[in-house]
Amino acid sequence: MARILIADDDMAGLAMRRLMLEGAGHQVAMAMDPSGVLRQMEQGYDLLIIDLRFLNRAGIADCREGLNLIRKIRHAECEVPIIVLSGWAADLDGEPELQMVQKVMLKPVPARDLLAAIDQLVPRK
Amino acid sequence: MKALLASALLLIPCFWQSRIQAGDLSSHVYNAWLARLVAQGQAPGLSLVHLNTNILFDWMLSAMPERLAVAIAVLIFFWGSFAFVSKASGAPAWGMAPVIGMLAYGWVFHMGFFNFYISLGLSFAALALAWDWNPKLYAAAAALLAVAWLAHALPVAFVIALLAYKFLMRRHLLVLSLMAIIVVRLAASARFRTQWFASQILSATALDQVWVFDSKYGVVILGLLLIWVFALVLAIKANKLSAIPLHFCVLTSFGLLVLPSEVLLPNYKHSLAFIADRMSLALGICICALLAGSMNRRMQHYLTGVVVLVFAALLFRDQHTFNEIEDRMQKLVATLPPNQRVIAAIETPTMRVNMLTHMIDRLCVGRCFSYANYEPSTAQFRVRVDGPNGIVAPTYGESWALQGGRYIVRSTDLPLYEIVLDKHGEMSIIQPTAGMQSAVSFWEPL
Repeated sequence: MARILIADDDMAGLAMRRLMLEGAGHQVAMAMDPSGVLRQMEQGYDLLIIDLRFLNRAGIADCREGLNLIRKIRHAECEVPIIVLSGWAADLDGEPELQMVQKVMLKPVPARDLLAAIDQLVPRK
Repeated sequence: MKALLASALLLIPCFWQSRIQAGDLSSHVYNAWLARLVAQGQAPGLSLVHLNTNILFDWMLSAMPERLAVAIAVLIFFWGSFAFVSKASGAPAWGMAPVIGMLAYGWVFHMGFFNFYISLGLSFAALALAWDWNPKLYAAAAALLAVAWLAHALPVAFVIALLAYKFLMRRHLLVLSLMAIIVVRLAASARFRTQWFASQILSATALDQVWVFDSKYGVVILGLLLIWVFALVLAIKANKLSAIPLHFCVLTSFGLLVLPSEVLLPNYKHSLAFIADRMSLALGICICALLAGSMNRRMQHYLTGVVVLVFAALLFRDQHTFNEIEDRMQKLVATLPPNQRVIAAIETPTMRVNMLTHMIDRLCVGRCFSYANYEPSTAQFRVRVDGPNGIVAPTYGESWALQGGRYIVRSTDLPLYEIVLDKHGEMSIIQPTAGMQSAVSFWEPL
């Protein structure tokens, strides 16, 4: 069982992913924006699963919000494994943040692939 | 006479400044010029393809001056919407006309999504024609929808769905349709790469259409909300909410709230984006149709007049600012030798429409090449990239990286000119060398 924080501004997608992960025995918390992730980070999770595109100040979806989040997490010297789960993983191509995450997965991701990736990054105790 | 006066008033924002500032409009104008170069064999590495949708406005730009094409687009949108609103409310909707006019110059217009905009106007006109059973009017509606399809497929599909709903309407259809929307959402998310955004909550009210640039448009959002709530209260009191427009509003709003706003279909190089942001304009017109019959009090007309004037004043001021910026950019571009590759990656993080990224496109017409222009590499428009060329970035990834200042310049990109801004907003041109990262400037011009 891993303690996982999932972040996405898609409420329905987030809720479905939570059900799936909890069904597999994981303990799951959710955040809907980067500031929510940063607020919850100190609770010590085993794994982060984050989207890249969140709303910016102008209310427009912007992958730089997710890239900034990854940078902030790493600059805080937090080494928690990160899976980027995005429909547009190419947003990470050529970006330095690509080296800061452990895995990039494309939506829609089959449940078994996501669970296998989690098992790989957070070995079951 | 009333219609002529309304049209004249409506077109004022198309002629009140030196240029029309509308995001992608510059890109459409630029690509109309590129298409001419390709046709004349002067753009090696680019080609033209035949399209049967997403093309009508580009044809218009090839056939007439930009300002005339935009004015025609505005008239099509307004009168198509007005026809539907009048038909659905049972009388000419003059009381709601200022609100329709305001929506006509909202977010979709300023993003420059003119193919979608024209298609929506034509599709609403078709919906008005097909409102009552009449074979001749049905044939005319079908013809209008065929023309609308040439502009954009989404409004055509939307209006066909509304028409089907209207004719099938019976008990429980609303509930079944809402459930169908949820099923479509689940199926789309399971099968395709999709994205839902929290901003869709505002889109589901249609108020986001008048949030054009920055936060000061909040006052217009509040004004539009007051106009609609006032009319809604009167309509409820008088028991004047008619079922069909109400169901259209509920279904459209629910769809905006639930369905993904971005979808990448197989074999597409670029996703279908801003779906909810565009379709909230359709919802806005449906709300006008629902409430038009309750816009007859003098107080409502005063309120509407004030909100429209505030909206127009804000747009005039902001468009003036953007035109001054384009003047400055034009002077810089004029100093370059002819036919050079130019990029202007300028981000405006607090604006809902980045008016600066595509500004260079229009300025390059007949003078230079906008190297970061996105249209050819997305394979959604008629000008296509066949491979490496000296005119535009060969892939959308490279175009996107150039627009965002994340591109590593190659020797084959040179010579390349970049328009940059310093922290005081002063504009200058730099020439990167191979291996350098392309530049990006951040600015809050409003």
